[in-house]
Amino acid sequence: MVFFRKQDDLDNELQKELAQRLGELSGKPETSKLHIHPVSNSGRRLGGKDDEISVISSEQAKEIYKNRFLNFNKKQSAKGGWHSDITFEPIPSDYALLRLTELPETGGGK
Amino acid sequence: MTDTLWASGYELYDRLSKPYQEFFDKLTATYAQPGFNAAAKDNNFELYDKPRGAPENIGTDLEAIHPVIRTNPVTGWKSVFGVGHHVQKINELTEEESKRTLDWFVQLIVENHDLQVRHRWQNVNDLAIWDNRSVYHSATFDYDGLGARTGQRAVSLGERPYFDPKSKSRREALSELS
Repeated sequence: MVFFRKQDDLDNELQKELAQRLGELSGKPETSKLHIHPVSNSGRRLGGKDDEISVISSEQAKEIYKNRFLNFNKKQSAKGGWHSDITFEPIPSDYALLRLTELPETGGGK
Repeated sequence: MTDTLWASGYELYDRLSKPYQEFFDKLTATYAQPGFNAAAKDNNFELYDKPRGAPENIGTDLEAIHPVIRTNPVTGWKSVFGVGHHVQKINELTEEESKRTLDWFVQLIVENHDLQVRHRWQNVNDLAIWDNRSVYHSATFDYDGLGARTGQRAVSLGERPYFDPKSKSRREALSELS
């Protein structure tokens, strides 16, 4: 688990290349590329243009998951949020890279 | 605010007693996410059914059988892989035993903050990299009402999960080094 702050020179293409090369250099099978998410892909309203990037969008999630995975009303337990990505796939993930491109107005970091 | 939490699957495995480790070493689980099919139906769209980055990841039946304990091929260490909301059941146990076990794995995460790390997103283009084979994560919806949050995630696909009976736990392997 590593964090790098303010990677302003990183765009989606470079981020994809970094993800793929991390996997390749640590010996993943040749047939394993970048995941295309069954839901979070370019077919969604806020899904971006690239199927090999899962756009993680709070607004999109509210729209399509409503009370399915997310309960925004009087939440008293968040333990249901724990997971490892896409383990329902026969070939799941090795490395995942998440880069935030829009942050809420919290006053925290600004 | 707007934090994400990660937790160590290696350490979760090391919190189990030896007899429990040996018991779970032998088991498999059904990993599935029918919630995505339901969300697609509710919102009138189709799941992406062409190959999803590997020829094996195809179709709309989002289900796979993997071991409960997984060996990470890079470190050679074992971790508890059968954790979280994409895990349906432990195949060899009764429904009751399976449910209690899966709930208990999550309980071991939430009750042990010393196997977690919490990261605060502060700037646009802050980047996190993790290994999904041995690490879990959870979003924190502490920003609800404060505006939208968007991230770009690239997910590399690895190998088919396996359990190597000769592999070791992290603490076991490290203690042999010292």
